[in-house]
Amino acid sequence: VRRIWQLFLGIMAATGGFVDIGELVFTVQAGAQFRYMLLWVCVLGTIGIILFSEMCGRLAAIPKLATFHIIRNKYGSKLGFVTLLASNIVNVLTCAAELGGVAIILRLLFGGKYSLWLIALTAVLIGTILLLPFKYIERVFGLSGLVMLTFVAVAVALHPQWLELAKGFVPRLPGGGTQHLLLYAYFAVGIFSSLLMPYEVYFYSSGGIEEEWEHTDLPDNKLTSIVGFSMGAVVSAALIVVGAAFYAPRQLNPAELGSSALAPAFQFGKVGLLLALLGMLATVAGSAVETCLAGAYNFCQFFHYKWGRRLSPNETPVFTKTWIIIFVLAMGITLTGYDPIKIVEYSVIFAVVVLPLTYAPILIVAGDKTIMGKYANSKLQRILGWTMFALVTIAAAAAIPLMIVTEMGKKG
Amino acid sequence: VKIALPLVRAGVFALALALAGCVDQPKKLDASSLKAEVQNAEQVSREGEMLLELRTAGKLTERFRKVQELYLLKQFDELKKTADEAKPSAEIQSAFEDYKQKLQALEAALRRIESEPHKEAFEAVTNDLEALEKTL
Repeated sequence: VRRIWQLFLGIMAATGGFVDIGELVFTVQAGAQFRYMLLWVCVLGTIGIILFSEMCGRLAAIPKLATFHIIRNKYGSKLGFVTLLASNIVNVLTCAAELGGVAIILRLLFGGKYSLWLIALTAVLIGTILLLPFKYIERVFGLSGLVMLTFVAVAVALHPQWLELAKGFVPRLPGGGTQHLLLYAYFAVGIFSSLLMPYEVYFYSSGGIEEEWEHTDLPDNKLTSIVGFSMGAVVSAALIVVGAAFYAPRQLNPAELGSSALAPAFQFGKVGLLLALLGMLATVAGSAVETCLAGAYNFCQFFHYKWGRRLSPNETPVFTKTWIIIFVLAMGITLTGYDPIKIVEYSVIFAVVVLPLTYAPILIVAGDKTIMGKYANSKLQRILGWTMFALVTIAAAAAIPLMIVTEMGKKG
Repeated sequence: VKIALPLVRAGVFALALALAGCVDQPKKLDASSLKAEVQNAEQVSREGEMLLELRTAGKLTERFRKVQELYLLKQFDELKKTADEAKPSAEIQSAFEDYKQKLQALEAALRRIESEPHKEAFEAVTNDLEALEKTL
């Protein structure tokens, strides 16, 4: 019973921790502009994150390899370092955006000054990581993120056009000229990237090692990644539906976090508003912690320093200093006054460029029978994995040109 | 240190480069960029309208409403700044003047949102801006 309970909590934490600020920004806006047409990207991105997370879990359980151990071994120090640098720049930018997002939500809930919230919440998050063991960090934020299910209730209560919604799962192109098509492609790449953000696999892979997974944990790994992430994807899809059913008919483009909470307020009044804000607060704060720790995991794995929250900070001085520095750096960026929503758009688009560099070595090693033995990728996993890798590479090549021609999703 | 220092410098440079992109540059306005500005102004007006609707229905907390209204004003200030600094091309000069007038009406509606919450003021501005957008 205890094991089933632990598995249940793990799946729920994966569900609640699935959405981050990138998805909040891209999905609702995509729904507002293209109604249900981009739902298929949600499915595609979710298949991708399930595939790669499950592989990372197996790599953590069998050969006990975390992502940046693999990247250094496969790429060597030069290309490996470029990957580390690019990944951590994206991590710092994402963490800055998440911190800014949390400060905005705190302000919407309690008033006060944005900069003071930013400093206070960074201190609270640092304190939380120092005080709580890894499992609790993962579960506190993941489980409280379940409040985001409010958006699923809002989506259903808005009575979406179910037939149109079902059609959204089949890829099709919008009418309205080349510029509109480019905007559609920009949002497709944005949603795809926000679902596959590299920090998620760094964190998941390192988490497996933190929790000392063995081969006996592999069924749990499979269930957590498949069920937990699929349920999380329902929240992402609900955000698109809310965009399509509430914002699109009113020609509203919810470019601010607060604007995304207008639909729950409309549907369920003050209770809906507060639940939506609390859900966003939990999930975005959880993602800030994950990005920050992911950056420190990457650095220490690459340079072979001792790492992990399972060890005391005295045993892992470089790891502890690194994640604190990442938090402070992210806070510094946000304190300069850059709009967190703009930062998140940059971080999501830059992240897609890092994705092929991250996923190629994972695919190669997880498929290597000399390392994985009978736990190596099956034929189906290899086919799906390399297909997904090809899609990620296409998205990576298109991301920055699309960002420029659509002026970050504003022109179309 | 020999290896780390240049690499850290490269990282800082890349980060600075990325953030530099976040800074808005003064705009040269042509018909398509003016249309984008008009659409942004429409967004502010529609959101003001929605805020008033929800406020009247008692569906917003006081803090949320105040902060969200401040965000709207901030967005409006950005629009106004862009309009003040913009260099419109000759063929859109009259449309641009028209747009600036609509911005004044939007500003008036936003400034009165606290004391005189009239949804109709926003509706009128939105309609005017939509009409202007169609001419571009």
